[in-house]
Amino acid sequence: MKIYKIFCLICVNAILSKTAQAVTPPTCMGDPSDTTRWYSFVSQNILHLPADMRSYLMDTRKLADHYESQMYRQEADNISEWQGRFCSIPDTAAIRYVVYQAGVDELEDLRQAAMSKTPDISFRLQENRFAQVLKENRCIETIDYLLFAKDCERHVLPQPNWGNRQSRDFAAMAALIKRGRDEFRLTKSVFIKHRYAYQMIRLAHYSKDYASVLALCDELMPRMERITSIINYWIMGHKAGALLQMGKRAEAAFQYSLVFRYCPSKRESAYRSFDIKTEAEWKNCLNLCQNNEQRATLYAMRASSPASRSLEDMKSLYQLEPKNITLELLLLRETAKLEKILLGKDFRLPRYPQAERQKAAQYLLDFRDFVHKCGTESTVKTPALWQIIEGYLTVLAGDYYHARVLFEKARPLTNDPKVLEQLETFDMAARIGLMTLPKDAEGNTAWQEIRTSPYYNAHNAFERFFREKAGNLYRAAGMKGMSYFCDYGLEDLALNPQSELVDDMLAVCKKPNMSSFERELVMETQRQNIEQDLLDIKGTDFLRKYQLEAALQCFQQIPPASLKQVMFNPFTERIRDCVRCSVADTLLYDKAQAVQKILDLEFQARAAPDEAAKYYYQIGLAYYNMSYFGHCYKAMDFFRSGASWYSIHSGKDVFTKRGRPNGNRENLDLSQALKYFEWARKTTRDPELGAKAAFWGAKCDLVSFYRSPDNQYRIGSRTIPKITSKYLRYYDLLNSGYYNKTEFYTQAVRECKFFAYYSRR
Amino acid sequence: MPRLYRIRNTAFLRHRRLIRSLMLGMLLFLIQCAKQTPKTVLPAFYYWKTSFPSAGLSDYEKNVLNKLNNQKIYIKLFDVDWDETTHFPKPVGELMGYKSNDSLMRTIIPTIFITNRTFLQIPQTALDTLATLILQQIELKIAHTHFKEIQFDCDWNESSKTNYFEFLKIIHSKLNKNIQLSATIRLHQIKFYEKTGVPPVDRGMLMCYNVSDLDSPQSVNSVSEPAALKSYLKNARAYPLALDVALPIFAWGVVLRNAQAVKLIHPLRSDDADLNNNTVFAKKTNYNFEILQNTYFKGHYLYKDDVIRIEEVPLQTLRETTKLLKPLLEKRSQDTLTVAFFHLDSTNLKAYHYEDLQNILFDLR
Repeated sequence: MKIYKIFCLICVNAILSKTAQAVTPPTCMGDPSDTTRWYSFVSQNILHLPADMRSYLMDTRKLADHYESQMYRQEADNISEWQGRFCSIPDTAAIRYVVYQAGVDELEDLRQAAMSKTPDISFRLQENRFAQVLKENRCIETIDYLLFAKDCERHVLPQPNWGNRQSRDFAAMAALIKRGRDEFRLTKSVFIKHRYAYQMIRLAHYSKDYASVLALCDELMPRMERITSIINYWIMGHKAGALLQMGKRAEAAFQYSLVFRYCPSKRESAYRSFDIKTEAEWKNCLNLCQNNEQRATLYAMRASSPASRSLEDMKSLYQLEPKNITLELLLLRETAKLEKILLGKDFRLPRYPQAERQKAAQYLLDFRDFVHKCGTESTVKTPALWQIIEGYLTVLAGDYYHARVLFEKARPLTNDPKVLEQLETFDMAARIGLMTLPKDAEGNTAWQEIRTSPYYNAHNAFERFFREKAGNLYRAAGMKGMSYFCDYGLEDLALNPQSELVDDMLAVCKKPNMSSFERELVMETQRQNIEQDLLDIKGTDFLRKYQLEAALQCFQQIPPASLKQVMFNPFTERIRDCVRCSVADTLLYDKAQAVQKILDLEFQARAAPDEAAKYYYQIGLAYYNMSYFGHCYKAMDFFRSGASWYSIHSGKDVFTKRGRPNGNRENLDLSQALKYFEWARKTTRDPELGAKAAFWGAKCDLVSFYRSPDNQYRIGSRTIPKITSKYLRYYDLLNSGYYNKTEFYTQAVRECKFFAYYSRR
Repeated sequence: MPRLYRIRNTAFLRHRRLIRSLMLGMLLFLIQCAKQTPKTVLPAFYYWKTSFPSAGLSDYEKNVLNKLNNQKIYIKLFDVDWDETTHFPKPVGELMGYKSNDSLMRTIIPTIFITNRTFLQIPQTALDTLATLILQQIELKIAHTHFKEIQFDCDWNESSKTNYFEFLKIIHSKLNKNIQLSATIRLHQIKFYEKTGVPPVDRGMLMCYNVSDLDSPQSVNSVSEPAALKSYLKNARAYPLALDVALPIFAWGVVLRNAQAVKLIHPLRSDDADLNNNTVFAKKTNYNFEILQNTYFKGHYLYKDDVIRIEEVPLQTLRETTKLLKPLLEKRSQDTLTVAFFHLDSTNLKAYHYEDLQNILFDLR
């Protein structure tokens, strides 16, 4: 017997554990409110820089986007050299075709034509001016080089992304290098000699014969007359690559720095390949430099890393080459980084932890000292820009008055419209920082002057910056509503009404002498302000709190036409809940009428106790239907989120909503509805009405179960929840002999699957 | 035949008389339990580097693998990322130097990481081509190697799940019937699986790490924190897929600058001798070091005021993780459980005694 008991216990446990496994707790996915809004008043367009200088200072992740343009740039620079070599007689399209697109057959035909006296060029090159020039001048040397380059090309093409990568034909590449050497020796043109050297060195690099790359550089370069050509830097790039592969990191970095400085078409790839890993490498690299320009380039490259803290490198750069083009770019970028942390630090919501802000503030002081030094010594490229930036750093430090003094001093120092525009933008930020709450017409005018300034309206971010400052001033003055409305709107407030804010704004709406900014915030149209909306929010909030008289008082102040925009009938019965299903009913109520009707029903219930059950039942229905779970939810809520349903077990009724400071309140409370259903059930002698009241009571209990933390039911699953006995009171009552013979019971079993299931338990 | 970890209920073995009398009941009970408790725990490792030494694994690594009776290695062959130039995915970060499993002498599971943006960008019509190319690429990388499983790793989300799942279905249809398809499951994907979906694969590998935001300066250890892990595992029990688990043994240093993670230094552990240089590093806590002057460190240029947050997984944390996992895995009806350590590297292995790792495996039986 004992064994049998143990066995039963084990079986029951096993079955229970299996059952428990099938039940999953509902998910709870928070949606953290994100009010962070970034903006910057620093414009990098004020520097007159070539595009490639800006691109390499961008986020490295974005550099890939520039790859194609870099390829195009290399091609363009090369074509430009070819054009110069041929006295600009052929146009770039003609050169591009012959150098990059023509096939070997066409070039061989061209060679044939150049060698012979007959004027036959293949038909595709007949109209090509470059081909004509090569033929007319019998440039056999050039055509031979182009043929050689065509042969080299197939060995240096990038490998396909997918599939079998053919290993390169190293023997053929070595043979080409040998052929190149011979051609190089026989070639007279320095222009073509450089190109032969480049092709050979590139082949050696792609053959992974790094020692040969260096050997070819040492062998060929001294044998050529020095000319200014991008090819020198292209060769240098391959040399650097070979040095890097051979572990000569400092030498490689030095070569890359030269390419970076002098060769725009390879600047980006040089920047990407520049990689110093140790202090010793850095020192060795500096030792390889022959002049301050080269040293400055190293500092500029190191400081250009997107997340750098560049002050120390900028100091070195300034000492070595104050007019270095990168210095002013770094100045703007460093300022923008500080701006992100410190702009409006005395009134904007902090975006960074206190410790970080303290570090940034300390860094700001050091940086400002350096900027001041550079601006006053006037050895930099644009001294006025440094003085303006010093002013803006003072804005970031929170000293708006002193910043404006600095801007005033800097204004006459430049005529550059872009720099002047930047100055006015910074000055506008300082003016906003200096604002105080308008106490009279004069103060009001000062605010208006700011908001009507062309510089204010030229920059979208000023409106936000202004509102953040104004919000802070109103907050300090205890005007919480105005402060809130500086940042958020009616829709945000309606999601979870705060009576304090609503009352404050209602007071502003009624003010006879509103300031122009206040008027702007509260005016819905030219003639009408948001008072009606606020009253609607306030009344609805009272209704949600079941303060019917107060709610009615608010709704009665709203013109009936406005109230008629939301019409519903909360006194209808629906066995199956469907919040989005409209009711086919001609009798609809607005909020005021619905509240009035509930008050009337309560009065009637008190006046006629025999009939009270009927009235209580109707009130219960109204409260149920106006809740989150009913089709008249709009009566008590301005926004019902279906997503809240998935977090219902949390027991909360306010749910986070992105960008909404107070979240979204849902009317999940059914205590009042349940109270009236219970009264109806207890006071009625009619089993039909009693069954109905019990049924709705059961629905309220089901919601209580959903909201309880021990609810293990997976919301959204198509199963029937397993409710604990605590929440089955009304179902049990319905199943009792008193109610289960009613017509309503039969109808409910037919229509409601949940109820049918519970009735069969 | 490798030695496998088998479940034995020693308590019952000691009481044979009681067993005899309970035989009938136990028979039914065991049938019930057999479906719920993993019988075999298979130790495995991830090989996640981009180069494979020509001489094979180091002696130390081989030694640890042997002692753990390791027979399985998930080897990442390449990543797949979206190529903005060709507007089609391309393989990147390919494993170099690895020819076949001769040097490993273990079952290898080719593993492919595919970026989420690939599935966000790729048109549905191109999924079949991508699947074919990936399978061909796997064949090319490990020619003549027989494998019984392929694993895909992707941090998919609600927006990309349609494409990713369709891709997995296509892969499944192209594989031999005897090759299993598995996918990694990140913690957020198991917690919110009703939204992110369940991948159509044979098995899932639950990655029990990366529990919080790496970027956040508030994070103490974004790699592994049992309390944070627990919050993700609420739905693990009901997850409708056979699960294996991946446990972290790696460590790195997160460089925080202006409250943002700007670099990862790896491997880096708190007992690294270089961190004892007081002129450069100020130790704030056991795992936080502030930089006192601009310096090069482990190949990275760091600035004054930077903070390095070392994120490593102490043995105690690993144990707590297994404690959290055990009850969840016990209830699952699967015969085997692979426990894969991420990832295979001498530096990582040296941080633990092999017996500790063995105990972790033992704990998950």
